[in-house]
Amino acid sequence: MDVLAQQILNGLALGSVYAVFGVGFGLMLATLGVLNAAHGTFATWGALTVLYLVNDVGLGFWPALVLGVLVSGVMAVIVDFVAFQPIRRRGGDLLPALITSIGVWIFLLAAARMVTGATTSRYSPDAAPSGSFDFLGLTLGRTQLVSLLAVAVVGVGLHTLLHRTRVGAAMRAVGHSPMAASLGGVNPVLVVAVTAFLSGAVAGLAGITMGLNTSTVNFMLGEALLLKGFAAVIIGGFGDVRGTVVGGLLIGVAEVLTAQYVSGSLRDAVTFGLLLAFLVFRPRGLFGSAASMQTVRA
Amino acid sequence: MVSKLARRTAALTMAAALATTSLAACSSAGGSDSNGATKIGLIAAEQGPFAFAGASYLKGAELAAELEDVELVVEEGSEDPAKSITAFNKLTGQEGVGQVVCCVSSAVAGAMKPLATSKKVPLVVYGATTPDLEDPPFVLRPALLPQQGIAPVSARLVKELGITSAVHVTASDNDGLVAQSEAARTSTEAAGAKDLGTVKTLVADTDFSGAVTEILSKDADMVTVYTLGEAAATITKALREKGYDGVILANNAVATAPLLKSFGKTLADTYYSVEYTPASSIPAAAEFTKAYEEKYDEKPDLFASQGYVAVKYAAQGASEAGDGADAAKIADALAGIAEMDSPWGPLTFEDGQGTSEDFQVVQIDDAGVPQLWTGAGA
Repeated sequence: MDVLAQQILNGLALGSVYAVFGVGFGLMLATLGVLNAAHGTFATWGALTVLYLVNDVGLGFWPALVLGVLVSGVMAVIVDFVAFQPIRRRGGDLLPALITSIGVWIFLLAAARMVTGATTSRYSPDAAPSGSFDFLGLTLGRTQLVSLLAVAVVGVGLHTLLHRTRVGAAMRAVGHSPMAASLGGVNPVLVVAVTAFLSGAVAGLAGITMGLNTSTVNFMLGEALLLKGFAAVIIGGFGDVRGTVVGGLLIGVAEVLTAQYVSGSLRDAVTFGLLLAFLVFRPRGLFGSAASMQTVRA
Repeated sequence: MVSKLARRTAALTMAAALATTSLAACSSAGGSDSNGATKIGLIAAEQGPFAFAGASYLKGAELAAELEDVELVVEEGSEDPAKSITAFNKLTGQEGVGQVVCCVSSAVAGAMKPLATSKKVPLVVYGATTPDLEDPPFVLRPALLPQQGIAPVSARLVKELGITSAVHVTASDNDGLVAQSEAARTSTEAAGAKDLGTVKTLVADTDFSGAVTEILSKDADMVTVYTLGEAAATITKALREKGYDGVILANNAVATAPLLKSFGKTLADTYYSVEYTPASSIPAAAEFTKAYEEKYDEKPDLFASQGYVAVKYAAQGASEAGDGADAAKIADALAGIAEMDSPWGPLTFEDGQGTSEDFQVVQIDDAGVPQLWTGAGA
């Protein structure tokens, strides 16, 4: 087995989870102008929902995954209507929304802690994908395959939605100027709801795949994803799905290779070193435009 | 006006402090109450991060108290340092409580150690495994250190299973786990297995795909895994899923009931060393198992045996100190115990730390159930 190739594959699988989460996080930031600190909890609640449905209700993993994704999406819509819409109506910008999102974050995190009893669980081994298979001379876990498929579906799907459909055009228009979009016949409230739903649903999917890959589901699951997802958005570029996917994959590969060839204790240092380097030398990220940066600043 | 109020407040505070001190002096820590009943304080962990083990610890402790005819005074500490310190102060403020049994985690035991030493009240540690925690006569640990069993068991596996090479996995930011991994590394190497290196993870890690690839790349006959229980189970599962069919010796924390339930047969064929299992052939273990089953109608686990041994040891100390002995005398008596019988075999003490020669080897079977391993030819 070629260790380097195998580790790159492991890194891509890990990075695909970060990428999926980052895509949802970036969608909310670029389109709705919300730097949502509570976004990690959508991932946590998605994973907890699937855990409950699989282990306690006895539902199959795949239908449970769909329901978990839906629950996270609906949760994001509710949070947006309760916490962010009032700020938007008053013309508030990034900072009030960020402060509000911290309150939502604390509430949802505490609720997750309460329902889990602060213990760690995992999907029943017989009910969730497990095992591995050989792929081009490398070994690929079925849980890793789920993550890679997830990033492919989410990346291609969201990019196509945003750039090839009328819904995507409406989302981008609302992200640029809700008033102008409204004058053009777009219903901003509906578009915001759809965007929040997609953003939360994608976070839920990331949480579910993270729980699957690490055999660990607890109330803190989404918190690690939050920082890595944010780093993926910065590295890839605000508002660009392709960039966030590449950023997430890059972080995953960098983490795994650092652990293999340098030191496991430097994994996070490399990730956040990359983040810092992009913020200082190329703040628009790999694929971001100056215009998208302006949107965020505005 | 303000200064008068401040003086009055200060005077009231002083009076309250004096009254508290006087009351504390009246109930100064001693080993028995005015009726002569021997009392032992216990800080329980039925809630909090170690709740999965806390109930078993308490049941074992209560069984020992019943058999040794001592009164157990229980306060919940939830394995939280602040709560445990409050519980310790409350227990030692009660009449007749001359010693306290506590602590699953090393962090809490470390927080309690200076308190016990400064208050001169013996602390009997029932679970924490960080090295050098014991400090007689006030901090004593009958609980065995895992590395005591890891060394002979890993050497035995190397010899009986014909292992020629081993790779080791540890959580490099946890001293206790590093010590356990080091014990496995040195003993397997001494027994003839080539050391192929140590793969380092961190306690907070949840993704082990890179570590597993690194382990597999070594192509070793044996992998020893000394990380926290969840991580050890996750790594073991990932190794098996990726086709590793060699010997895996892991931290015995993989065999806690919650992990066995959720990982099940994915842990099949994993070995671990442990001082107690219900299947143990040690006579005192069989007696303990029988008494426990009669009292609770369930099988005891390792944690129950640790609670049992700690209270048995504390009761022996109180008994040797004599009726009405104060905390200092009990501490001296505890520190003076050189040997006692236990479900872990004859337990000997050196500088307040229990040791045993009778560690068991357990192998998880294909159904995910731990079974006593009696040797390669059995």
